[in-house]
Amino acid sequence: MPGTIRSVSLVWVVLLVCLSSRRTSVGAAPICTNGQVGCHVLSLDNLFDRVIQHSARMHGISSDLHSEFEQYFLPSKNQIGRVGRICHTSTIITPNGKENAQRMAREQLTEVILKLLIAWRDPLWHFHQSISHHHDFNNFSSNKALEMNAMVHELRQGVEKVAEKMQVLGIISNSVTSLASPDVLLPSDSADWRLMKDYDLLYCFRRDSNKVQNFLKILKCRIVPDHGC
Amino acid sequence: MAVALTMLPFLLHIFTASAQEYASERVLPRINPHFTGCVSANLETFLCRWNVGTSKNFSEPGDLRLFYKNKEQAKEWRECPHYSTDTPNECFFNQSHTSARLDYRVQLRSRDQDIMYDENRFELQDIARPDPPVGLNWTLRIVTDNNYDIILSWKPPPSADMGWTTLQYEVQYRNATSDQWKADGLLESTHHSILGFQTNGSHEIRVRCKRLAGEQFGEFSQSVFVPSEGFPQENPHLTGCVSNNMETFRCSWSVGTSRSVSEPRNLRLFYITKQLPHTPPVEWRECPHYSTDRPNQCFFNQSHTSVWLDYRVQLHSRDQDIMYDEIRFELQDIVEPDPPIGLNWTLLNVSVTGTSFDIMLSWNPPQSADVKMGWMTLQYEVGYRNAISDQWEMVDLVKTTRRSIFGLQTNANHEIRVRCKMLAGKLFGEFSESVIVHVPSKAVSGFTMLALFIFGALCLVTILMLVIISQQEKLMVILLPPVPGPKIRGVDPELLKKGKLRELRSILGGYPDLRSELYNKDPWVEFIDLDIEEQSDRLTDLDTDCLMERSLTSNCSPLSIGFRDDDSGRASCCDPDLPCEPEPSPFIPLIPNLTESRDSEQTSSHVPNPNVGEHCFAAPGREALYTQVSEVRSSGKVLLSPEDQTEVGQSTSKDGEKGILLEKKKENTELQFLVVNPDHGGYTSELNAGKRSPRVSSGDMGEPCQIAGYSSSTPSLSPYHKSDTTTACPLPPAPVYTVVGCVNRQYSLLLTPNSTPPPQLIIPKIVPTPGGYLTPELLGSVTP
Repeated sequence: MPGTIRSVSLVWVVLLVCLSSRRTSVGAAPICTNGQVGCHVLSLDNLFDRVIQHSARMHGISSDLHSEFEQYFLPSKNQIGRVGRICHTSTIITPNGKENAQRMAREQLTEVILKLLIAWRDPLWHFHQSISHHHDFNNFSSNKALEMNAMVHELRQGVEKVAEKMQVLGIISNSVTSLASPDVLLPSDSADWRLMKDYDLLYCFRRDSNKVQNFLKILKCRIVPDHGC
Repeated sequence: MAVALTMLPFLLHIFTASAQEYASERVLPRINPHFTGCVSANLETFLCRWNVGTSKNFSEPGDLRLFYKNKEQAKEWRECPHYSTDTPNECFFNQSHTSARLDYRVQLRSRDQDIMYDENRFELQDIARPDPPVGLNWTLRIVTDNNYDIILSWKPPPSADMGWTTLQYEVQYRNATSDQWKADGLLESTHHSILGFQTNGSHEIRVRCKRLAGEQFGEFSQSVFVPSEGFPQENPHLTGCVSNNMETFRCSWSVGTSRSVSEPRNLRLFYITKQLPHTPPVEWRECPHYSTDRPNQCFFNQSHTSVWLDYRVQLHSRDQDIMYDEIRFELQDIVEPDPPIGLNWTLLNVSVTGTSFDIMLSWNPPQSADVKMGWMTLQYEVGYRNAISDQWEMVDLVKTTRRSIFGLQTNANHEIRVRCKMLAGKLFGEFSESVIVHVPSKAVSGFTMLALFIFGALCLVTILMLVIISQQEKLMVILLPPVPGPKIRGVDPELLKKGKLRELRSILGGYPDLRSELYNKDPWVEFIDLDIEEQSDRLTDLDTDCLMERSLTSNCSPLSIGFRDDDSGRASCCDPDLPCEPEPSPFIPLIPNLTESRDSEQTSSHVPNPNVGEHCFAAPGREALYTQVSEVRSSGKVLLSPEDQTEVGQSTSKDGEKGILLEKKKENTELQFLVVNPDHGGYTSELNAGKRSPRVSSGDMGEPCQIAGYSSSTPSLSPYHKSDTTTACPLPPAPVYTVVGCVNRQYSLLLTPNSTPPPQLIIPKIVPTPGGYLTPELLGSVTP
């Protein structure tokens, strides 16, 4: 008899635990994308944090890849006279310093970020293709390139969400349109990224990912005031 | 054209023939006049050159003529507008005859235009090859032990119009001894620094240029030579530009060994940022702020600093006519953060043995870096070393401002320092100031405590062992008590051993009544006198008898002599055993009327019963008492012999009978040849006449009880019979049964009347069996 009582109580305990855990797991529901029901709504602060983390990671990967290229393909140290790179994103006007970025209007800053991200969509895809067909590169580099490619895509979506949220909250005006076509952004006579060598492409992307990361940080600081700003 | 084709096989034939005939001689093949190339230096003019070949002598001008046609003038061939005067075999087309993006055809013909030697087709931009640069010279930048750096400069070719084309240059250099050229290309500016020239020989340098987006390089310039020694003074040069917070930066330079620039302000720094498309044009600007606290340094504040922009910084002489050095960079690449501040440590724990300890380091990011907002993300690297050694141990990078270090030695000085760099950056900043960590080891306490504890435990264990060893026997008895051997009452343990199962079975498998002793749980019962009062009453009547009886009962020695049963389970070894088992077997009653009373006597077997007293004996008369077994024959017959009659006293018949009975019984018990139940093990009487015979002496038989002429036949063999005989008072004189006739199936002795005179006592020696039991050998001697 005591044995049966024990087993019954154990069953009840297990049931209770299951129920309680189910209740707590509600907190881990998916993030709302389009007004779904039953999803977990993120605050703007949280969104910014995620996006900044993502951009930091992207910058890290681009830096690693650039270092690898530098190590294997450019042993020369006479860099002084080299032709200055003209990245295909040079036409996008970006603030060139902290103060400039802080003075820039929020909408403009958001637009700049989005333009940069969109401009790199195609070049990174082609870069990954060329790397994966090249036998000189190991899988590590190829994987990194693929990851970088994916991250740009995701980051762009993230920033678009942030922009949406900001528009909804009335923080910024609705002038930030959904920037779909890259042709709209880049003037036709800009240096074509297809002509750029891989190393230069990586250098440019490393620079631009650093820009994106820092611009996002400045934007967050201005919109979601923190103790650090 | 057809002529040329027909001539070709002829030429080949000649060549091979001549090769065969004149193997040792080399005969040059005949080569026709042909174009060596058409070149345009600036896309406005061009010239074509040809070679006269070896077939004919075309030394005269006019022997070969050039004709050209371009797409505009579809039909007409025109002759070269101007044959170059200074160089033979060259035709120059000036601007009026030159049009770009047009398809040109030029032909080399003979004077009479009957033979066309060669043709060329091109577009102008395809043949564009700039002239070589001019004015190549070098200056020394730095000299170190083994190598030196120089700065090269030149001028673009004069024919190239800078507005029309952008030129790109390539510098080639080589060690004078080797043949291999090293190239540094594509350069845009007309300066270039070559670093790391080895001082082991002189070097040769040349430069050439090409159009931007063009494919062909022009000719090389004249080479310049750099000697390996005897350098002029080292020129002033830039030592580097560094930013510590990605918002400002400094550039510093070195004066060099040149004496002329020793004064400050003789050197001026200029900078320019990259011209971006769609931005207002930039121009060279001078350093915004020459540092006051440190010489030869220029500080760029925030308004003059742009991140992510290409910078060019040049060092000029005072009047800007000499450019000493130039460097190019982008700001995010030259960031070296300041060292972290506030390096501090706390003790985490000390090991049990007191030889090593762990600490937790903590520090703060440098103040100059804006980490809070996140403009700069820093990674830290901790280095530590034992003050004795020279080698620094570097710990993995961390992003937090805390780091734990494990396993440092106590009683030693440790030096710890930390530095940082930008996350995804390449350059580390300076190390912070070192912090000395010293932790004295605790006075032995933990260790000695442990040692003492172990020592105490060991002592305890040894004491325990000694105690156990000394008391081993007792402990063994307490812990493992001995197991008694197997025993069945009445059964010889020897029989329980292996191989003697048959005997055991025979013993155990007999008539159950015969085995009552085996199953009698209370061994004392058989010795209990049920009618003790009666017996005492009777004793008054038959005191001697009873005395004898009692004495018999109490007298243990004769009764149990034969039994050497050590394990009998009785308290005293002298307890009478059960020699006389009641035998319900159908004996032929010696005295016929005695059969009825057999049953009543079952319980008391030894005691020659109270009934003895109640019944009167029929004393058939005094006869010789056969109380001794004189002989056991091989046929199994037992012969009894009369006893000494002197000892037999006169008494009442009863007494006498009793006495007889007693004596008989005594004899019987002494002799123990009663129940022939050899399988019954312990309770069979044993034919132990041999043993008994000494005892069968008159001395033992000193009971005064007279036995009235009782034929000492088998009635005395069993108490039953005794009793049987006593119950029947009037008895006719019974025949004398003195001979054991046979042993029947139930192992009872059948007595036969004595027909022969009692023989002399011959007592065969019978080997006593162990335990006093009947053994098969004895049985064999008993059974017929």
